[in-house]
Amino acid sequence: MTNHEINSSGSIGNSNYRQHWHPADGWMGLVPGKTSIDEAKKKLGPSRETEMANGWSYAFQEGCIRITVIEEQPFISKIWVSRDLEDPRYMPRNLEEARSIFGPLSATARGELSEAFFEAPGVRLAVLDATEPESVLWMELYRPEAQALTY
Amino acid sequence: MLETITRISESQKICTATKDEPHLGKLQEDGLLCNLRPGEAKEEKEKDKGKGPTPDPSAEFGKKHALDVTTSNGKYVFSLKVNGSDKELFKTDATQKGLDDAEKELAKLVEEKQKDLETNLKVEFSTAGEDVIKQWIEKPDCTWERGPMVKARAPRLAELYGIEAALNKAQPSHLNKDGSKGLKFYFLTETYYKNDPALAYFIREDKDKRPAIYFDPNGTNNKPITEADAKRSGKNYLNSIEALTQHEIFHNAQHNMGWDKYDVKDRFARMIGWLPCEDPKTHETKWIFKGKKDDLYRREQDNCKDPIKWCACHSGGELVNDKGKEVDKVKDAQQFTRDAIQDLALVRPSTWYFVNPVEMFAEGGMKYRLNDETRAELLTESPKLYDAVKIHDQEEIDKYRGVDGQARSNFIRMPDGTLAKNSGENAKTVQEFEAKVKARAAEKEKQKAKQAEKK
Repeated sequence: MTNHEINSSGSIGNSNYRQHWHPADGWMGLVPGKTSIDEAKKKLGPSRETEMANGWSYAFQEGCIRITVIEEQPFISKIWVSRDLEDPRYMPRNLEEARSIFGPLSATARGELSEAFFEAPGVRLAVLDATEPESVLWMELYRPEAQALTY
Repeated sequence: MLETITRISESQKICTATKDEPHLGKLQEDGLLCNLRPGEAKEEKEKDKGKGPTPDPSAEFGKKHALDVTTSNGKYVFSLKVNGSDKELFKTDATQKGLDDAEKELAKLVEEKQKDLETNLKVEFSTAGEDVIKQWIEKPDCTWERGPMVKARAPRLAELYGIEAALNKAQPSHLNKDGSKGLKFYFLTETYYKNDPALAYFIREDKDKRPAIYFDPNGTNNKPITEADAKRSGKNYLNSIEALTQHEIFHNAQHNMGWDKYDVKDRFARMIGWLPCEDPKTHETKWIFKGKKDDLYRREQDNCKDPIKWCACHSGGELVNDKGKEVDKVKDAQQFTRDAIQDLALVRPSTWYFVNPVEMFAEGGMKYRLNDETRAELLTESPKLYDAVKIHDQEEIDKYRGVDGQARSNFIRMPDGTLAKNSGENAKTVQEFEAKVKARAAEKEKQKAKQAEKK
């Protein structure tokens, strides 16, 4: 998956003048920190809503996509995408592809079942570390705090 | 390019900490399961120091292969304590040649047992020298980097017996998602994380994209093979090779049932008293544990070298002090011991290991399947966890074994953990078991209340 393919498919999104994805690019036209949940629902279809301790979670497409709204904010907080999503254009399959999209990624933590978390501002990926290249299990996109006022 | 990890989640680890290993102190403080019970660490260290005369080669053999070796009438007798009794495996001459012959005899038994499990249950085992995974190495600044390849060894006979015992009660969770293959069991010669040992890990995908279990190098040392052997020895309850394996296999059940998808995990986590919250700064999903009185708790650490503590918190995950004021640091927050949280919890964990909903559920699953005593204990002490595990277990059984034309399950799990046809008689056995346990629990509560009244 190259940047050109991502651009033309209109999937993950990429500004023409940037080499890599930027949080303001969002995903499938949805931008955390900007898009409303109603707009997200129009785009993604029916959802199942569950309450979180500090907000709401909306599961779309049999749970392969999840969007959160927290602390009564008027915009979506985070987009989570599973590798089970049928159309593989919409998320990187492995860490190499992820780096080509998102740029350098730091390994920051381990998950509950040994997945490794890799991050860059606005993106977090859960990665399975036994294969080469490492497979991406899920990714989540959010507006990093440092950019809260810039878009 | 080397990637570094700055923080490692404690949640998947079951420690092998001893008091003499300060870098593991945080795990010890957190009360995670240790390979050795408190007080045993020193005894083991003394044994290992090799005090006294030259070690007996037969004792060394026994230690290497996790067998009992005794001498009788000029013969070495090789045996295992397995399934609640002493199983004599073979005898050889009490000589060095006898030990050489024993290596061959043992290799035959290992091969037979391994083939039996591979054929009947589609599982697989690592071979000596096989590549497993690149090790993670922690640097002094708490970051991590990938290190050299960790190699595997072949399983020991004791391990195969323990795994077999677990597999007999773990079906269908020993299979991958489409049922075509079973789990692969790896026996690591180095720890997965350098200087950060654990007992075992469940792995969604090994190098061949197969679900697997990695046993860390000392993960099965000194463990009774089955719970029956633990009971017989009077110690290490729920710390047998069987119990450890059962817990890890239950993680495969979670994987098979789609816990990687948030809404599946969310559904079961809620049943057992956990709520997700999203950190407003980092947007990580964190899990909050509910108390009986709308109180909330979660685990946190200020620095990766600090122990992880249970703290009071608000619904956004904000830590709070004993006056309910939000604080930034764990050291300022109202902290609780693990035992206190167990008592305060809305849904009581079934064991001490409940660092997050995934592990709490797996511990419940382990007790549900191990045997009728542990299942009764789970029902008595944590009925909500029991109910949630039962639903999950039956859904998994139905997924693999199907339902009939009236949507009735074809198979159910009997109180001893084995699967059986969902006949009227078998269903009645389960119902009667549960009714008896509940009645006993109710009577006990009644007696407790009476005693309390008298005081």
